[in-house]
Order: sequence, then C-alpha cells, then structure tokens
Amino acid sequence: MTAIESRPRRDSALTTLTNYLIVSGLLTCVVIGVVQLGRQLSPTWNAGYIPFLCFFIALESAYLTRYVRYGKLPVPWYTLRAAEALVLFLLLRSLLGVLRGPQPTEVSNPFYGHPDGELLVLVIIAALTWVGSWRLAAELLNLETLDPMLDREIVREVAQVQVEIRRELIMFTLLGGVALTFLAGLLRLHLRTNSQSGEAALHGLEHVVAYFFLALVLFSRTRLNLLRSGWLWENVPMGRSVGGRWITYTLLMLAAAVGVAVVLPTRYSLGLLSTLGYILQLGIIVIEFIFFVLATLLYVLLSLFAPNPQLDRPQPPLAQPPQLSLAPNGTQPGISEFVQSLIFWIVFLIIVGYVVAQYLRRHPEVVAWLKQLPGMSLVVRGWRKLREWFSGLGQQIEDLREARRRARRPTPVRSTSASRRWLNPRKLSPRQQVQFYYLAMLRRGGEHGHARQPTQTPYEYARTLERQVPEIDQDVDGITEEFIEARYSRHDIPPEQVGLVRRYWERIKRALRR
Amino acid sequence: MGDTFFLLLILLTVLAIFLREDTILTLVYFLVGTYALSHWWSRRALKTVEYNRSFQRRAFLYEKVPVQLELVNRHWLPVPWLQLTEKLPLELIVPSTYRSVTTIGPYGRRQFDYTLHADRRGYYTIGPLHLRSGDLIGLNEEINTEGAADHLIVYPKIIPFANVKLPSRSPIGTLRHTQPLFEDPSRVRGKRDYVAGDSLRRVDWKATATLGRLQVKQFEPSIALETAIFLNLNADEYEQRTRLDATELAIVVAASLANWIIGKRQSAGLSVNGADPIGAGEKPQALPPRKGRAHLTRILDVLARIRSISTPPFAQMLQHAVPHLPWGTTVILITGAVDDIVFDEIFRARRAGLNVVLILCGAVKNSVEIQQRAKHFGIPVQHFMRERDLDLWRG
Repeated sequence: MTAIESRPRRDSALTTLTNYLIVSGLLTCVVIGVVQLGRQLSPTWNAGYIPFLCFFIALESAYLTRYVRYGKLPVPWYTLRAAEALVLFLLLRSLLGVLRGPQPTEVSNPFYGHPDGELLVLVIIAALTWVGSWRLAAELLNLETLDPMLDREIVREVAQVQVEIRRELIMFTLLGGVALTFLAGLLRLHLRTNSQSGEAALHGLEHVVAYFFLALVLFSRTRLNLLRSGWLWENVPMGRSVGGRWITYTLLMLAAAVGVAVVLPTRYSLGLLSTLGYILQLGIIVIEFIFFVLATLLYVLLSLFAPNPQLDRPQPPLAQPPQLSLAPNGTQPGISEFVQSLIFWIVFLIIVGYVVAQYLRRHPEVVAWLKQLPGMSLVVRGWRKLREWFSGLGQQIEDLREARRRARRPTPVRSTSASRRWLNPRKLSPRQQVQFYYLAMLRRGGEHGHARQPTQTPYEYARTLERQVPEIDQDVDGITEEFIEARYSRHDIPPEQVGLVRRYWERIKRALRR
Repeated sequence: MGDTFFLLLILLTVLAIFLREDTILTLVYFLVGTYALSHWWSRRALKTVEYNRSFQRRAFLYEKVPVQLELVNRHWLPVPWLQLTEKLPLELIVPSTYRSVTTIGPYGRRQFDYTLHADRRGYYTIGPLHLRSGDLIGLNEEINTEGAADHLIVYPKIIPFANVKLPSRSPIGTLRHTQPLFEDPSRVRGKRDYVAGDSLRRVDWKATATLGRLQVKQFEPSIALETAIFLNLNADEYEQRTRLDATELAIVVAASLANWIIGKRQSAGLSVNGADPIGAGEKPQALPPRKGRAHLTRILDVLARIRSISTPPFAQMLQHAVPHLPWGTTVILITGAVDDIVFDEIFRARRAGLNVVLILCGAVKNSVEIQQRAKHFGIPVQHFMRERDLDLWRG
C-alpha cells in the first residue's frame, strides 16, 4: 500500500525556503539587468554589490510577508512594514557610507543640501525589489494557504481564486522577463553598434536565461499547489513522494531543455533569402555540371568516330566545368558559413513550424477562420495533394523494397516433374486446370499493375479488379466463382466447366493487354 | 498558461530576429524545448502505464472482497503525477469512488488496496479506472484515459435446508422414499420367506440354498429427484408495496432449494424471467436440470445477476418450458401471484406426469383461496412471507 498523507499541509520550511530563494533569484536577475543599464549610463558607478544586496532584501521581504500572514504580530502589520522599510533605508545609507569611505567635504546631514543621486538610485532599486518580493511572496502564500478544516464549498471557491492568482503571477513574471530581455537586448545592440564588442561580451544575457529558468521552476511549484487544492476539494489522498519528486522531475526536464538549447545553432551569417538563393545557385551548378560531363563524353565519343583531319591546327579550348561561386571574393561567405546558416535556418524554421502547429492545434477556431480566407482552400487542397503524393511515394518505395526482399529470398525448389506438369494445362486434371487459369489471371493482373495483396481474399481481389477493368467484371466474377469451387469443394469438376473458365481467361487476358 | 506562453514565444522570437541576439535565440530554444519536452512527456508517460485489478470474482453474501489495483510503468520515463479514480458500486463501498494521487518512477509499480463489502446480492461493475495526468508546469492540457471494467458477482443468501419434502415420481435414484412403488433393486433392505404372489425374480437363491426354504429379497424404495425451478420475477405479479423484499425472498428460496437439491446429488434446473445484464437482450438463459457443484455455480450466477422487471406473464414462460421437461420431473414454481392461467398450466403439467410444488413469496393477493384451491387438487403449496419463515425447512 502506498504511503499517503490525509490532507495537503501548509508548505514545509524547506519548501518555503526554496520558493523564496526562487523569488529572490528572479528579482536579482532583474536587478542585474538594471545595474548593467546603469553602468552603461554612468561607467564609474560602483554597483557590483547591488544584486547581492537586493537578493537578501528580497529574501527578507518574503519571509516578513509570511510572518505578517501567519505570525502573532505585536503591532499592526503596516507599522511592522514601515519599521522594516526604515531599517532597510538606514542599512542602505550606512552601507553606502562604508563603501565610499570617509569624505570630510560632504555635509554631515544627508537631508540637507543637494540630493545624493547614488543613494537615490540605490533606494529606488532596493524599494522595487522589496515591493516585488512582497507581492510575489503574498501571491505564493495565497496559492499555498488551504485550511483542510474549511468547508468544501469554501475550498472550491478558494481553489477557483487560486487559478486566477496563478494566472496573474505568470503574467506578471513573464512580462517582467520580456521587459528584461528587451532591455538587455537593446543594451547589447547599443554596445555592438558603438564598436564596443568587448564591453558587449562582458554584458552577457545569462541572467535573462536564469530568470526564465527560475520562472519556470516557480510555475511548476505553483502548479503543484493548484493541483493540491483541487485534490483537497475532491478529498483525494496524495502520495508522499509526489511533492518530493515534483521538483526533481522539473529540474531534470528544464536541464534537458537547456541542453537542447545549448546544442542548437544560434549563429548565422546569411539571411533566409540569401540562403535560399545560394541553395538555388547550388542546384543550377549541379545541373550545369551534369550537362558538362555529358557534353564532354559526347565530344570524346564523336571525336573517335569522326577524326579531325586538321590535327595540326591548335584545338579550341574545352569548356570549363562550372565553378561554385560561393566564395569568389572576400565579400561572400564561404562554404562553412553557408552550411552553418543552412543548419540554423532549418532548425529555426522547424521550431517556428512546431510552435505554429501547436498553436493551431490548441485553437481550432483559428484554423476554421484561416480556412475561410480567400485562396486558402487552394492551399489546403495543394497541401493534401502533396501529402498524398508523399504517402504514395512512401508506399511505392516500401513496395519496391518488399519486392527486392522477395527477390532475394531463395525460390522454393520445385520438382522438375511438377514444373513440367504445370507447363501444359491440358495434361492437368479439370480441378487443376481451373486453378491454373485463375493463377494465370493473378500473375497477369500483377504484371499490369493490378497485383493481389496478400491480405485479399479471391472475392476482394475480384472487386478490386472489376473496379479497375470494368469491362470484364462478369468474366472476373465467373472465374473467381469457378476457382472457389475448384479449390474448396470435394465433388468432381466436369471438363466442360474448364472450357468455360478458359473462355473467361481469354477475355480477361485480352482486356488486360489493352 | 498556454496562450501566455505562446505570446511570450512570439515576442521573444521577434526580439531575437530584430536584435540578432544569440542568447535570445538560445532563450527561445530553451522555452520551446521546455514546451516540447513537457508536451511529449505528459503524453508518452500515460501511454505506458498499465494497470491490473485483481480480486475474487465471486463472493458470498457478507463476505469481504479485498481488491488490489496495481499500476505499472513500462517505460524508462517516469510518470510525474497520476490521479486515479476507480468507480465502484455504492452498494459495496462508501464513498463510491476510490481515488488517489501518485507518481511512478521508471519501470516502477504502485499498488493500491481497498475492500468491498458484499452486503447485497448482485452483479456489480468494478471500475472503470480513470487515469488523469499532465505536465509539471501546466503548459499543456491534462490527459485522461479510461480502462476497462471488471465484474463482481455476489451470490444471493443461501439458507441451508435440511427438512424439505419434495414429491417425485422418478424411480430409482439416491433419495430414500416411503412409496413402495419406487423400490430400488440395488438397495437390498433384507430378506423374508417367500409368499404366494412374489416374483421369482426376487428369490435370493443363495439364501434359499442356505436356509432350505425360499427366500425373497426386500428392496428399499428410492427416487431420483429431478427438479426444475421456475422463478417468477415479473414485477407486475408481485404486490407493489413489498415487491423488492418479495422478489429477493423468492431468489433466496430458489438459491437455497438449488443448493439443497444439488447437495443431495440430484439434478436441478432453473428458468427465470427478469433481466440478466449479460444475457442476450437482457433475457436470462434457462438452465436445464443437471447435477454437480459446477452447475450449482451456474444457477447461483444467474440468481446473483437477475433483476426483477416487467416481463411477459409467468404463465407464458410455463407454457414454453414445461412441455419439454421429462416425465416425473418435480416442478417448483416460486411466484408472488397465481391466476387461473397459471393454475391451468399446473394442471397440464400434472397431466404430463410432472410433480408441481407451489411456493408463494411475499404478500400474495387471495393467498388463502390459492392455497385452498391447490390443496383441493393435491398440489403442495408453501407460503413464505418473510425470510424467517424459511426456518420451517431448516430442520
């Protein structure tokens, strides 16, 4: 019996720590992006410590949010949070002072005189981190909190609300990710266009990848929470190992996805149209080369039969084979770059096709709308024809392979007397003669493209043949009936029946020849 | 989440194309890879899960039936989560579903146990097992599959009879009888002196030679009790108020009589109208009189499955079945009502050499009149109002 727990419980300390580490990590990735931008604007800004600082601020804020929700508060929650903000501000101020060192020229009162820009930026970044962590932690708490003692109807309502909360959390996180990506991408573009490639290399986008990785882990955890709420509502006991293995399997899957992403090509030097142009050019070159070889052979053969009397004359130069002009000069890419671009575009188009296919699979209404577009029916019909052609081609290839396999198989050895007997049907018994003519029809039908499939019964084959050669339908019916009788009956077959079968066969043979 | 995710992919792809950033492309690959892996995994995982439900397919009343449900993953790919819902009959277990959530590792197996309480006769469907699974992130729709169902037969209550007296005209059997007409030459009771009129076939020549005077063998009378039970489950022929109890009592009487008869190594058959869930067109199949435990099992199977419904009249069933019974067969009619047509069939059966016993179950309209009429014509009749009345035959 599987060990089960009676009801989902409040998240354990380890689960909470993991969740808050993920939240802190997410916010730290955003802070890294902001710091990169800030350093671009002000290269002298000493901001290396800010991501670490924000990580701890986010962690602290998340834990305090949990304490505010579950703990026994000595003061109202807003007093507590205000005190927390004040302490953090003083901490930031002190940290900045420690980092700057003694500055005797500066006024001692920070609230007097010109504002401290560095402090202001630091406070804004820290405050946004603090608020972001507060919100994410609160939403995570909303997703985990389900009291098993609650009424089932209330649990159902809470579970429905949780679906909405998770949707908002996902939207918030993904929008943050897109903004971060856009910011980081623009920054790198700026650095590249200003010939600061070294600087660009320094500002990698690893934090963006890390952000999405952590976001997916967070989505996975919230999905488990949501499922647990549903199971609680349905009174479904959950195995103890489900929660434990969930995170393991999620990390394994994401690691595999990272592995795939790292292996796939990302660099290309040729655009899609240029690559297609080069493929076309390559095709033309191949055709030209074939013509060149054929023309050369023809020339050599003709020169053997009609020797040229004017041998002493200087010969006109032979045509030169076509050259692959992918890299005639430095401006065009070489073969390796072309191959690299080709692989990239193939992979890219496959991925885009997969995404589009998945999207259309999920939205049949879009497919229906697309089908209504003018000209789309032609495209659909063309696509179907193409698919049919390809499947037909595949079937033909399979038939060919099967025929080759059959040809390789050793032919069953037949006694010479037996083979001789079958040579002259008139020497056979009436039963054998009927079978002979039927088999002859099968052989001739196969030769004319109407082969009998191994799974077909005589009647099924007769229907197939009648569809394909309708003018001999009665003869095919007749010969099939006679064959069935000759093959499976025990009574004697009269010789006049053989004559009838022979006439059937003659007519079928004539029709098949046409 | 799926649409948001697709939106994100579109945005990132556009960004990657415009900014020509390798890392953003890697990010797109990562996200598409995650989607594709999760899609493939969730579909693949459930396809390779097999289940096996093992339990005893037949149970006697008030027996506990343990059921083992084993799920096996036949693939190296683990099943991250799996919700199983087994539909069960409410008569056997409360609540009427068995549910659990589990995870199965590569080539792993999980076993779930629950117990059914066979507190009511019937033919029950166990399952089908409904499996639900999905991905870990929630990018794809959940997958649901449903397996096949099994069946459990709970036999009707069997009361061990010891004192049932059923008439028979089938001579030479294994049951001792008082009617000297049915003397069994294989059962020698003793010997006596010859008197005029004794058949010479009965003379025991060895004993005669020993004693010096003619001795004849005395045989013990015996009968063979070949019985056909006709059970009426036409709902219209039972009192509406007590229909359920009366039909159940009728089934208990039929099952107990069949058990007693076959326990005596005699033949018993069963014809019943009603609804059999596995019969062709829900029509129950008649079982001709046979001996043996296997045949008793067949009779009990039918009695376990059968349900009372509105059917053609009981007399119609008798009209079809009785003429095919061999001479001397004991016909037991178990019913909740007897009308003139049924009486006509009873008389016809008697004229055909059959012994008819009439058993009334539940509240029967005009029961006194029926009993008087039956006694007048020499038909044994028994009326059971409730199960306690069957103590009469317990001995």
